[in-house]
Amino acid sequence: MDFLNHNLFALMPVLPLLGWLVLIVWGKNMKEPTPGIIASSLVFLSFVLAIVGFVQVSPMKEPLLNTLRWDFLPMWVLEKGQLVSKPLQFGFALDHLSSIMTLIITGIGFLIHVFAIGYMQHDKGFSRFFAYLNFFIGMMLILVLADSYPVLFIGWEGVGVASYLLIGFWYTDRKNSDAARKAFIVNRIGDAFLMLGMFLLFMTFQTLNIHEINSSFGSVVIPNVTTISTGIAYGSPPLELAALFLLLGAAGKSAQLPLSTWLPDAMAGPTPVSALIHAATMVTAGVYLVARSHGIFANAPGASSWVMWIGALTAVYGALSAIAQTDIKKILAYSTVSQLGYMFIAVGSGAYWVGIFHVATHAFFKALLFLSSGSVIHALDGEQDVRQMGGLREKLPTTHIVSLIGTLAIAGIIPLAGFFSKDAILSSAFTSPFGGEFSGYLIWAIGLIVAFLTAGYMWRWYTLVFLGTYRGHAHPHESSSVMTIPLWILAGLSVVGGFIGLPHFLGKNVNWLEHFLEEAAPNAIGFREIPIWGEAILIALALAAAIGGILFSRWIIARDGAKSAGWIATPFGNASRKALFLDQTYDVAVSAPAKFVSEQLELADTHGLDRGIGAIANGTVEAGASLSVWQSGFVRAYAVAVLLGTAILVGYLALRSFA
Amino acid sequence: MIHLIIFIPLLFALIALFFRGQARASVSIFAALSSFALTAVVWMFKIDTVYRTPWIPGAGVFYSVTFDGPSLLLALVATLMTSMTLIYFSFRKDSHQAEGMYPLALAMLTGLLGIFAARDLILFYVFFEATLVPSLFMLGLYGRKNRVRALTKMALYTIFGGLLMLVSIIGTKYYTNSPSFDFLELFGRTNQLDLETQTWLFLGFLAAFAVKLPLFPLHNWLPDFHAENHPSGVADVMGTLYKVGGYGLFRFALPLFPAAAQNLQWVFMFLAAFTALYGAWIAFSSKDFKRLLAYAGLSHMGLVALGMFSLNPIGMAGALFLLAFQGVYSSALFLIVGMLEERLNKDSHNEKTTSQALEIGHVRGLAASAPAFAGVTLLLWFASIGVPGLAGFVGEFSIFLGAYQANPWATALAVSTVIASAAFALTAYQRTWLEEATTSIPELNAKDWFVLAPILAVTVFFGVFSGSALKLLEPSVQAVAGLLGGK
Repeated sequence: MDFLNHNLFALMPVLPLLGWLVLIVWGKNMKEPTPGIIASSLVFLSFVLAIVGFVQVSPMKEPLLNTLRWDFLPMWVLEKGQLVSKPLQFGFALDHLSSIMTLIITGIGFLIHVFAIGYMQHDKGFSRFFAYLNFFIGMMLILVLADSYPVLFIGWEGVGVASYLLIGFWYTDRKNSDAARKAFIVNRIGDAFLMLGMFLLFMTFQTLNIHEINSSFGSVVIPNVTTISTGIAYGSPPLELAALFLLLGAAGKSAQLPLSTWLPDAMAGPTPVSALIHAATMVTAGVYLVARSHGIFANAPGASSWVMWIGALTAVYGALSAIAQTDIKKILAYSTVSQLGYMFIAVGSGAYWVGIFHVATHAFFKALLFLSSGSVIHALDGEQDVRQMGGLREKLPTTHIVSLIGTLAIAGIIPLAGFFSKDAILSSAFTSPFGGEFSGYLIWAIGLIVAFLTAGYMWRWYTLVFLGTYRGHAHPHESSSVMTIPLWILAGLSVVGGFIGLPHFLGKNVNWLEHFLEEAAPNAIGFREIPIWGEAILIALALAAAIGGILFSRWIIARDGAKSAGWIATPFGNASRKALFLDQTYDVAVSAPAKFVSEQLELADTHGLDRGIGAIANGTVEAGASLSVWQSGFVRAYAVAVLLGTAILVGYLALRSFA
Repeated sequence: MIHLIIFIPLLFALIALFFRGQARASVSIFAALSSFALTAVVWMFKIDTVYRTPWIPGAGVFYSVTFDGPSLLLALVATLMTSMTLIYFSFRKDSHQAEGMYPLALAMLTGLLGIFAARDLILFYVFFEATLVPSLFMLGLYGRKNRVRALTKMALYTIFGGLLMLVSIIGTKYYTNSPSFDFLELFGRTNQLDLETQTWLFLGFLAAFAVKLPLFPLHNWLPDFHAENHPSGVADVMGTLYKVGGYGLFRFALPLFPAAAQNLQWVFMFLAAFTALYGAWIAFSSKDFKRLLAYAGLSHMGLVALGMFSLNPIGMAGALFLLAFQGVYSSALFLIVGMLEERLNKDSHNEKTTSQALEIGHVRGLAASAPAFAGVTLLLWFASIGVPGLAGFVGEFSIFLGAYQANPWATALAVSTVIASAAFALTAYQRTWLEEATTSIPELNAKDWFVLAPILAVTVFFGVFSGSALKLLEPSVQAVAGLLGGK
């Protein structure tokens, strides 16, 4: 029983991985929708285990460690000058933070699996698709349940592999394969930095166990005074550098600047993939990594303010890029980039629960929005250009209602989920202990502008798709209930999801999430206090920005018309559509030179460096050109020479010894 | 037992010469499998294999052999992969035209097992050089058009390096006044040598091992070696298993000359890191699969050298792990290329069609007609570029982790290969297997699965449950690291 108590939660990743194995081996012989049902049920079982785990760890203060472990990586540490072998173990841990993540991953994951049964019907790769989805869920669960960085890294790169497979799911189109490859390579840039971060952490802490590292910091860390038990001071260079390495790693997975370019291209995958991987779960892994490493970041003020700034810049970048896109999914993709920037602001500010709060609410409404666009694309036989849509309010009533809920939720309209989490982010930036007051206010102001832009581009998205009259040529039809039921559930969550993290001015103990995470991801020390009326003003301003954005968007669309180019034809509109030319910059500055160097090196290595010994070889070839090798006797001569040489040597030594 | 393991392949190579066709194949496969089975028995029942007897007593040359942890792991891989490769070869349509491969591969296997077992430096040298002979025969007899050039290059590099090592071996005995060439007797005396002597002797060993690894700039024979060998990949697999430079460093050069190793550490760490990046970068522009795999292998060997020169137990354990398991998945990629070549090449005697069958991207979209084949290939590529959960990761990560503790800058340079290797591997994979199909090929058949399934199982199993392999490496690594000061 005790064994079961400790190891039951470790089954969570095993079940979907089992599904993957079954479907990859036997899926081809199954009839639709059997693979979808198998895959969905396994994820549902994992969801049940996640609930059980949640109940198990809720009253606990310490993480629950599984007992079924084995050696995974060789490690030695110096203890009193002696090398001691302490192999890193392959093990899982469940605490409040990972429990929340498992609920999101399996819960949302299950809904998206169900949706995909409808969306992917009649696709040739039906079973392959569900195999990949299950593989993804399994890897994502390994990521959040890992109790050490290398095991986390298995999940980390594993979800990258899943993403590669799913973006390139329709691989016969070169564009899709290119997008998949790009995603993997850009992610690997981040992964390289994450690895460097791990190496530095090992150098500093002599362990890579996450909980050991976090607990090696004193329980109370006062800036500039406290030194940590391992002798690593608050803000000391190794900590700051390690945190920066982790940040760059997180930036790769979470599509933050400067590694954000892969995410919009990743929309080449089927829409449920965009919802599951590229909005709700995988891309939030970077946020999770920072929250998981809260001990390091809370004691690295410099790196933390970098996290905030990267987040703020990415939030603006994503929002600016989203406003002039014409592809229904690309708008949401850039929106995701922008919202991830918000999450980075939160975790950079030191309020780790806020980052996780937005991970949760964003998972609800962004999955909802992506699946809604999936429903639209499905209804329009693959049309993705919003200029060819419009007037779908009557034709797709369910999709329309849930999309409106999603739009208002992401825009931050009270009392939907996005309102609460966005407010929490803005006020945590405003009061953050990191980077100084001025920087905090500036980031708050940037966040406010992004809130305005978000409401603006999302209203444009909603208007162009659902309002006005239909501009395309397809025959829209509402989706089947296997697709609409998940939509309704997500819409419900988008409405009520914000109540898990109510703002402080409503009372002392109303914030369930902050309280729940206070052991697993405690806030950094030193947040500035603001009076209750100040908090209320911040909230009012955020709400005003959201409403202002919607009104502004209405005005622009009314002025320019839905279909006409209007301001989109201006240089600014062009820059937005090209995502501020970041891709082009990379092509010119990185890809092309790297490729050129590679080609030159290849030429030099095959032809140039050869000169010396290669020339002798050439000579031999010419001399023996008319004869075959064997006849020329070269091989034979050499063989004899080696054997003779050895014999002579041995003989010589023997003779010498007798003499 | 250990003598059986080492010499069964050679004995059966001679026996196989009396047979032809299927009989020869069966005899050879039986020999390789027996050697594997016996090695596995030694592993599982922890049988003591230490054996030492005078060979040329007056000269102090001993026949001294043992399979300790690292030797055993490498021997297991070598015997398993030789068996699988010979089975694969016997299934090939053109195997009857290259029947000499069987005895040559078996002879090489004996050489390899000898290298892993030898504890006497002269004995080691004999095995180290003798293994070259069958390798050159394979290339010379069954290679492609420019084989003579490739052969000359390889021979010149290797013999030159080997001779310098021989000089060093003799010098080591001479300067230490050791009664024998036995490692255990030399070891313990060498640390009394002054740094200059140690350094020169060390460099002599290094000449041989740097060629064999290979390390930049002594790598130039390797791409030609793979490109010009028989397209089946048998010789390439044996060549991959023959990459024993890293092992030689660990077994002899580092423990014998710790002071010299420490003194030269940073130079060789940078050289190793550069080799790793250089190989991966060039692989991106390789136009043919054999060359691509050659440069990928060069990159792996740069990492192995990096781990060894970290002189850190984690790095050295990682290097041995990578060395052993690249023998599985890198070899398997050569077999994959061979299987692909057999499907695409209409005329194996025609140099042009053979080149086309090995060219990256000459045909595209093969995953449409052979999805399982594509999936297996992708999995092996992922193992090769160190995706965690597969065997490649454990070695690669440990190398980096250990090397970073010794030299963060060189390691940072080397870590950038994870980006370059993802780029070349996925690009080459995409060009052949994905995109719009230009032709179709037969899916993997039962015979192919018979060969690949055990390889895949090993690749996945030891990527997760790496503990059993690590346990083999631990004591020796700890002992060597202790000599080198631990950090």
